[in-house]
Amino acid sequence: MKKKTRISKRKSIENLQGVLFTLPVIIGIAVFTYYQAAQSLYYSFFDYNGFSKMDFVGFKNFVNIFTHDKETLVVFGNTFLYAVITVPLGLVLGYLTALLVNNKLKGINIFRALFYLPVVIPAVAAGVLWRDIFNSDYGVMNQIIGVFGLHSRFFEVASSSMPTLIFTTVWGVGGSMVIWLSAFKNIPVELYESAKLDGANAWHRLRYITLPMSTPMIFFNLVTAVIGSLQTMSTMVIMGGGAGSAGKGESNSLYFIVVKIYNDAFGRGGRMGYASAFGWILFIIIGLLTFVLFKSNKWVQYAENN
Amino acid sequence: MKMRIKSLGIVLMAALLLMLPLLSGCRVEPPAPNPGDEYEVRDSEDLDKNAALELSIMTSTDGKERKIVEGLASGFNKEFPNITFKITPLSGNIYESIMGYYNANIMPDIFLNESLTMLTLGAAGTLLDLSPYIKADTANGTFNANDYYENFWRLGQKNWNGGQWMAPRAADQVVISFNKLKMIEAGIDLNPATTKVKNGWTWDDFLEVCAELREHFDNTGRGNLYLADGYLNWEANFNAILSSWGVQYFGEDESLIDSAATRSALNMMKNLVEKKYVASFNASSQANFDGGQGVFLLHSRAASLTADILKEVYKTQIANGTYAIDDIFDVVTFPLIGANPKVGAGVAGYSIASTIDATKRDYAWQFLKYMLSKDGQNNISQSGANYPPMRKDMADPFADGVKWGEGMEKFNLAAYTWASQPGHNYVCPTEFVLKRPAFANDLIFEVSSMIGGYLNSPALIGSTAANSKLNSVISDCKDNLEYWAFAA
Repeated sequence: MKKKTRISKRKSIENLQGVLFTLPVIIGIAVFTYYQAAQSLYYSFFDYNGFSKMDFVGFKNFVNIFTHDKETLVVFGNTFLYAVITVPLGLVLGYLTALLVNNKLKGINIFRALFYLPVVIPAVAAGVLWRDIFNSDYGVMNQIIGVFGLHSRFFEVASSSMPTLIFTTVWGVGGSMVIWLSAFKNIPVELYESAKLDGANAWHRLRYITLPMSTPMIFFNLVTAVIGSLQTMSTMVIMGGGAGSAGKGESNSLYFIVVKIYNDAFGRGGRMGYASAFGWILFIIIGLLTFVLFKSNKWVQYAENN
Repeated sequence: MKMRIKSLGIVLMAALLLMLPLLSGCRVEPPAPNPGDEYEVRDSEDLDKNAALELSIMTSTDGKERKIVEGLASGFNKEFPNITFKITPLSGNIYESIMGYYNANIMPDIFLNESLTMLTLGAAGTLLDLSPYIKADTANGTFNANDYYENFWRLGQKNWNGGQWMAPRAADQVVISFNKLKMIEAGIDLNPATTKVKNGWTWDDFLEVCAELREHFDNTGRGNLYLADGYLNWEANFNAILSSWGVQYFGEDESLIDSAATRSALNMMKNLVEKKYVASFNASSQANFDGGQGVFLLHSRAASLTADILKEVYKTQIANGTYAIDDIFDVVTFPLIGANPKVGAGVAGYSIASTIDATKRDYAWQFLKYMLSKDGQNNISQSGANYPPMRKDMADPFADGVKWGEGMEKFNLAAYTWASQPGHNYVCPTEFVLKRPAFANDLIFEVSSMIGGYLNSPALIGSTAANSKLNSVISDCKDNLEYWAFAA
């Protein structure tokens, strides 16, 4: 009986220590994230200009988004088109890159570093860089395709700005590559050795070992990529123009949901309440998509399932 | 036991989630809003000249603007020696920055503003209406609003026609800066007696000069270079051009942008780009005037700032005595288009926050009053940016006691005030935004997009594709203008 009490006492101290260690993070998230999120939910029910005007309007902001705002369709269309193309593209390219650098060649770490290096460049700096690379007059890209007699206006015309932007997403494949590399490293070598003994070739090993064993990371990358693509923002502000009403790209071709939220909150006589409502709509959409992804994750092979 | 802990956790979580929205309603109370135009003011004569207090001024991160404020502060201290200034940088979007400072309850006493953002900041109640001071000082004879160009003075007013929300610090209007070396090299006549390039020149004159320059550039291996950095999608430029063509933006309850006048104006602008006279800003192409490659710059930038930039470009030739800066560039008025010509204008200035402490308020006004005085306007020029002064009696840059022309006697600075001189009246602010001032930026953006969309289209003027593009950008612009003006 005494022993039991001693164990539970120790357990309680451990629990307390755990809570104390996590407390700074919990407080940080509560103060700097949840409080603001709750505040934006509160604002979303008001006609709030970001200053002193604050009139309660109920669900009017939410209703107006779908019945009144002619930009809603544009930003949803652009954002989902971007997400639908960049998410699979990023996953496949990242996975292929990881497969390529997942070998024991001499100097392979240099290649890994080179692929990862662009990820550490801030999005705004990357935006400025891409703008110059794709400049129609002096940009490097036109000089390269000029060898084949081609020329493009890239970001300057609506028809080519979205494909150009999607092309630039290749920039970030190093991020998912690193995660996959770590997943590959966790696959037991014995599995490959047994497969080899059973006569499995490289394709079979990829198809029946590497792919199934890395599905948790595929799932993780899929979820984060979906969320990230729906929140596309900073690079667009640079590429699409400036602050305030800009950041939309030529003929609104790069006008994304988060850019609109920013414009409404800070560039249009302060539609802070409306922008907050839009933010919550985006949150709900992301939440629903994430929920659907989690509900349909039967294809993910977790180690404990085996 | 485990179940109880789990239940307790759920209850605590639910309580926290419920509390957050409630807590979020308890935000930090923002400062008291605009006191209106009925507050009490102290007569200038009653103010204690030795009062010791600090005024905070927020200005642009641009070093020149900070120098202007420092120069003004030092001049102001001659009369109020114990007032100190805390100058802080205002980075990025003025509206967004002021929103942050307002909600954090740390508004500056005075801050840099400009005529378009002022409309939205004023409507949000953040700007002090200066009318009581103007009224009091007009009565005691220490201030006269008629000293200033009316066209520019009103750009600091509520909806550009009412209470004073901002004191404009200069009378900026668009001029053309030109590289004299390039002009002479191309054989353009710059003899003052016979040249076309003079104040009041017309659009046809401008096109003739452009044609000669183009031919010279093409013959000297510079076929890919544009002649002018035109900033055609900047409201000060496009609005003047469209207005000169007679374009109407709004009727009573609809947009009138879909008109023959708009088509003509857009085709004229596209023609400039197609002929490689003017680089459209949207095309991210440039003539590189500031790099010493282009010939023209269509902008309101102060001559001293342009001089500083070109001095750097031509520093070797200036150092070895080949050229002086007045051999390198000069300015001329924006060319007059048609029978009803317009020249673009907008102003920057300083506003007093509506939240300012009542004891500081009187001194903040005295500071603005000093900025608008002859000494203050001279002080601005001497701080490194010789913007054309707000005062009508300082129009002549080389008159006695006027310093904005000092050291620039060989420059045609009269170009900067020419359009606002009696009998000219060509100054054209971006007035169509007054249809819905709160959405001024959006209204401007839609027209700018229309211009960018057409000018950037690769289709050549007159082709079916170009006509189709022209119709679609105008139609989109009409819809969008109507949305922002009436529906949003």
